[in-house]
Amino acid sequence: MNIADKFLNDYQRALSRAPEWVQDLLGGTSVWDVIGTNGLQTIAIGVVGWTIATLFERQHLKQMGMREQLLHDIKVSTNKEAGADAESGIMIYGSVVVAHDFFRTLVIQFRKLIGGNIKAYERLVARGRREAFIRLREDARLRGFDKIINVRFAGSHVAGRFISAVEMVAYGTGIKTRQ
Amino acid sequence: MIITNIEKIPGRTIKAELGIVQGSTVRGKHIGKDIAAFFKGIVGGEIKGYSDLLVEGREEAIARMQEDGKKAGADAVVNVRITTSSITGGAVELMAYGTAVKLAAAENA
Repeated sequence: MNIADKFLNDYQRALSRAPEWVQDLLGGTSVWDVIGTNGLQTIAIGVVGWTIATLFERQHLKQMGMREQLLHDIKVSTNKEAGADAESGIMIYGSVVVAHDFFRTLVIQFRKLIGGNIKAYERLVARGRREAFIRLREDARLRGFDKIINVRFAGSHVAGRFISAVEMVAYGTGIKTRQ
Repeated sequence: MIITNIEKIPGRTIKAELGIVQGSTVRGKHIGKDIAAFFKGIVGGEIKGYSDLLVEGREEAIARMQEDGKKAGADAVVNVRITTSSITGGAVELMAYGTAVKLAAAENA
């Protein structure tokens, strides 16, 4: 028995325990059949995921624009000067973990072979950073600060067991000004 | 305890510096959250499970830093920096460090 037959055998034995609709969906009579159907399904899931991800992204950008409008009166700076009228201040931060949809991750893998600007990644990172920055300012608003100074951005790669994502943090010192 | 990421504390005077204090933690999520993240990964976007994980972890790191500061007899920690690094699949290390300081008694309190 060659490897392909052995694989098919094992695969069909494993599948026989699954419900019937799963067998219809993933089953096949030859190795190429199995790889073909599974491949098509993978691509189908990927395309659906991509579509939904694009919709989510658009919605998120719109929503962030609205939230930013509400936060325009909170002053932000990277300076360390609190000003003479500062009453109190503590450190606050905002963070978010964002990930690509799985199809785009695949595309990026190929894109990396060529190098250069990876647009999809740039967009993801920018979106994450913007969200983190908004959360920082929302936290400031919640705690009654009117100014955030010494704002810093940091990011890191977060590897889950199955997916990898990027974490974006924005932190700074919230300042309450004496009225 | 007051924590800032600038060199001073607005409205207060620093009396003495007590050296570096730090706190760190390595955290992972249980497998269920990882599986949920996998499914969320099909469409991408924010991974809430991991966001929460990192927020909890950061709070923990800052709390440990405060404990460290308390042991040194500090009233506040200034110039705090936070870092994140990925240790292995499903686990992250979060660290917070800063300078512990002793404050002069509040003038206006």
